[in-house]
Amino acid sequence: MSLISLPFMLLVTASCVLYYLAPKQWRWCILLLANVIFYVAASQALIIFLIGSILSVYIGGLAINKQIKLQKATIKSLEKDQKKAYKAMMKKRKQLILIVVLAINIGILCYLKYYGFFAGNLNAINALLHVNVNIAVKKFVLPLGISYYTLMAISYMVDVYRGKYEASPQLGKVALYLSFFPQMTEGPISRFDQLADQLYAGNEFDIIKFKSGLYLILWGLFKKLVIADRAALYVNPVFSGMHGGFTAFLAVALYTLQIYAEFSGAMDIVRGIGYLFGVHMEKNFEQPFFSKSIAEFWRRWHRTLGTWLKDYVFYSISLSKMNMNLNRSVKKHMKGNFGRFILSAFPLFFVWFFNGFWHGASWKYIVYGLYYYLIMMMGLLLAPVFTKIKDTWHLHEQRKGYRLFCILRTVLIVFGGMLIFRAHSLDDALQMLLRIFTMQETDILAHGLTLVDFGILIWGLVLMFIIAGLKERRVNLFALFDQKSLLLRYGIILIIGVSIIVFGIYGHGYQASDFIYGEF
Amino acid sequence: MEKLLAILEDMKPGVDFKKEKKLIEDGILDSFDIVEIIAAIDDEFDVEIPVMEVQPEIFNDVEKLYALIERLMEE
Repeated sequence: MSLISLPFMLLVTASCVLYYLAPKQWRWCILLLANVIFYVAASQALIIFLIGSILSVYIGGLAINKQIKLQKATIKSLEKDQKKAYKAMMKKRKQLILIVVLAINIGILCYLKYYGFFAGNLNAINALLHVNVNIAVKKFVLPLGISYYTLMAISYMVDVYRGKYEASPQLGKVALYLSFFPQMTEGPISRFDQLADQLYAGNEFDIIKFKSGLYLILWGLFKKLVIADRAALYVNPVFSGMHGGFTAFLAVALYTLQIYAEFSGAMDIVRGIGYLFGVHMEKNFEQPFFSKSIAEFWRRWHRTLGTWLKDYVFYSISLSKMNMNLNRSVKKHMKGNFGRFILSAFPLFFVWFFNGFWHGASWKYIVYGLYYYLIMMMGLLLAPVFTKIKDTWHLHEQRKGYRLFCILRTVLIVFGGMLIFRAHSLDDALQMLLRIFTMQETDILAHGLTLVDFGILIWGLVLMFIIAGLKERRVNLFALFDQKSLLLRYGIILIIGVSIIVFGIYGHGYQASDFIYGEF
Repeated sequence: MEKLLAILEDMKPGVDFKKEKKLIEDGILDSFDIVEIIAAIDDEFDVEIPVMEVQPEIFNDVEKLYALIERLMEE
């Protein structure tokens, strides 16, 4: 069930009406019922995996709670020298519970999503070593949203283990958190302490949130149907053919804009639906194309994945005993930038490896992640050189020209990443990159988009970037919009609405194309 | 407090750590700095800062960071 399908919209409308009609204490049940209906309609019997995840983290969380309470009650009566040994023993117990629950959740994800990848690679290794063992390469139908809700389950368990908050004794709350239906297809990757209470509370109807929700949904539909799906008409045939030169370069640029309009549009729809129920969800995008470096780009692009990787991969590895010892040793022998480069290399490798591998079970996605790893590491290594160049040429970071240069440089690097991401294989990506520089192809009107289509696309992109520019200047767009006269407000809503109907790209039976990030 | 300020000033010369209250939000300290600060605090104060305490609210302000060190030392 796509985010923009008629059944989905009907589910949103019906659950929203029932939510506000129901007494406050039962409203969470309406949400849970909507989640079940949505999930069964989308993934049928595969809901069993979601239920398994919910139960495992619920029971595991409570088990850790019990250990923490036991520790608090016991430790007071112990002598100072006994406390340390007792703490270490309790830590081991909590670790064991955490490992079991994480193994269940990561195990299910790995088996269903990555089995084919591992089997294929083991077969290739066996063939190289002339070992006559062949593992069947099976591909499973993935339960909807497994990549998203597994990360949310992990964050819940790790946070409870770290003592950030107590595990919830309410199974309904944990179930709501992991299964909230708008976020099942593309995220955001929410955190329990940000979302669960809002879902469980039974929110009062708030007209401001409700209107903001409707505006966001409308804007998200515009980005998906008018911009992203129109760009796809050009991108798909060019990536499938043997094109080069400017024609291929434009396809890479348009694919970057397509995926941004589509993914951020989906997030607008998801957050908009959240607001209809009075629920605030984390932003996944913060004007990424205004970034002056790749590190900044990834703080603004798919933010909930980036912060998840920072909190649960980067800090877990960086603050581990082994890495801390490495830190001391490196600091003794290497001062300054090179020391930092060496210390970053280890944890960042895992961050970018997981980033790539999370996107898909293929080497293409691993290389996609490691591409950014290389860029970041080169940036760290060459930082003193860049500083010297800036000083020699008197380049000031605050000057408009220099900032524009940094933004363009970042965008070009992102194009490189998107080329790998979109190409059918790594070889295809490399071939297309070579053709961009070696072929003299400039024809752009023979690949699915007419001049009028380009005009509509450019209009949509200009509108999208004006709004992004206003957000970048911290303009409160909802407040600004609400201050305008009724006539102007309805005029704008009508223009956007009519644009979606008239200029939106629909396939057979007015069915819009699927979301790219829905496949992960 | 003076020892903590010395660690920070050694790492980021020129920053007024007493005045600055948004070290993370203003981009003065990044994730790598935080890891280096935690390692230095471990060496200087013999205190391990657990991952759950790595929150922007604490690392934004040197006083809050020092309060955390004191609390952990008491524990």
